[in-house]
Amino acid sequence: MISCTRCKSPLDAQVLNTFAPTPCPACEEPIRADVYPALFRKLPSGRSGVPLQGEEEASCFYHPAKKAAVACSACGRFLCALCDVEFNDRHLCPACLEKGKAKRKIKNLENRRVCYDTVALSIALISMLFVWPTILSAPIVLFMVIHYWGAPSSIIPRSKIRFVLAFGIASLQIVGWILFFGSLIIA
Amino acid sequence: MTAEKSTYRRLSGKKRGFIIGHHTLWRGRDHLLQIYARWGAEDYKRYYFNDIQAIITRKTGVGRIQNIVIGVLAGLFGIFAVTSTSGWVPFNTIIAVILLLILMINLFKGPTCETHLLTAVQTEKLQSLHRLNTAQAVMNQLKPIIERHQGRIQRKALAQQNAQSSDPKKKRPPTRRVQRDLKARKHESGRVHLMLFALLIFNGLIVAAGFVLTHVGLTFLGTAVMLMMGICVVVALVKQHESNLKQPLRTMTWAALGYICFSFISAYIISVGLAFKHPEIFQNQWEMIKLFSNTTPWDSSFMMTISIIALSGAVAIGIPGLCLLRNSQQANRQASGLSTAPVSATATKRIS
Repeated sequence: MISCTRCKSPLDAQVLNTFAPTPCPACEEPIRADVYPALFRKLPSGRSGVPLQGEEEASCFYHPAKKAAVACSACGRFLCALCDVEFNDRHLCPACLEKGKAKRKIKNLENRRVCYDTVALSIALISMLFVWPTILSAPIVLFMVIHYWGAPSSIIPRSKIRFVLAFGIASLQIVGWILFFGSLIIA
Repeated sequence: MTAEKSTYRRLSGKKRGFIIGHHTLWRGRDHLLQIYARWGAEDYKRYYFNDIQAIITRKTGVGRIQNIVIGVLAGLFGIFAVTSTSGWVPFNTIIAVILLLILMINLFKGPTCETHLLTAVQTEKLQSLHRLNTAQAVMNQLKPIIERHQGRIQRKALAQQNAQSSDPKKKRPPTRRVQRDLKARKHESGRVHLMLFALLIFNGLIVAAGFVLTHVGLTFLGTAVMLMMGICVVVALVKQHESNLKQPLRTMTWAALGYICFSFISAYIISVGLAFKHPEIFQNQWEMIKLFSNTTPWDSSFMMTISIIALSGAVAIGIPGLCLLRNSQQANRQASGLSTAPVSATATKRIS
């Protein structure tokens, strides 16, 4: 049942799929609700796996008493219906799924990434505001650029421009400090 | 890597966080990706097209309130820029122009909204879709894609859903809000609220008078009004608790509390500043009051800013508060009129 997001009262069919803001019958707030067939779809019930009928049947790696239904696409272990996780058109066992998430091999399971290019550029720029911290920050930025050049950045399309800019700014800062200390020594 | 990169397309709309971060929405091959990015870290949320049950957007009044506040401030700074003769003209003009630009951008962006996405197990707010025009454009863009994954919804299924929802046997238990409304049976006339908003407007007039007039009487009057407002706001907040007063009116009362706190704090800061500037009269209360009375908004930019905020705050809270109260009282009167109508009709019949 679809409810108004303000007054929480159920919305009538007249308000749904109008494709333009329509007043909510209860609170009269203009609301547009686009509903899709998934709303009426029943949730699939969990599968428990079929018990083994004879000795000649292959059994699940994790449940030896259950009949194997499919092989894991990653490790090849036989899995029963309970252990089979269908993900991205592949059949995976829970262990491979966990490993894939931990090692970032399954992109669609990642829910957080650190973008080192943005971090490097931010450090390079913010330290410039206070001048003196650049003595420390410039080598750190250079290290980050070199070390994380090949590391995965954001999940969305992105160029290496931030890394290039951070590298350029940090290099200039180092050159500036060399010139400053050089002039002090000469003086 | 190239194939991975080409899978996401940016959808319109972006919402910046209060201080850091921003929310964006991306369209993938088989899912929507919501990204919250801040300080080089990105958090992802995926909503698969196959699982999306509904996308709901609701128009909100946030944009209108922003426009009113910015407009009032811009107008006040504009008036001061035109009327003042001292060296404040450039300052007031620049502020008024900046505020006007912000107002125009806000008007151009259109009304604000809240957009939610529903799946079988979650209701998530799509932060980036906070402007109605953008939200509608994105919803129109997503509709054919989701329909490609799920198929088109039948009008009959919707009608069936409607019939089920209207079936009293299958009705949901009352939500927390409905329960609160049922519980909130205490009728509140709003007399204290009326006093509070009237005092707010009166206080605005006193602040406005401070631009052209300095007198001890005005300071005493302002202090008395502030004290009365302080008492009224506490009583109003107690009275509106679990009463039948509408939510916007309750919000206005809380805003009035914020205004009073701001006024007390700013008055305290000004008094402390004066005491530091003139330590010789620090012990003499009467001299302090006289000195306080002689300060005008034209003395410094700080005083000018405080006076403008106080004036615009009084107008922006007082007038809408009174209007909301009048609407609420009219609605209550109509409701009571409707409920008494059948009784009066039967009474007339009996008399005849």
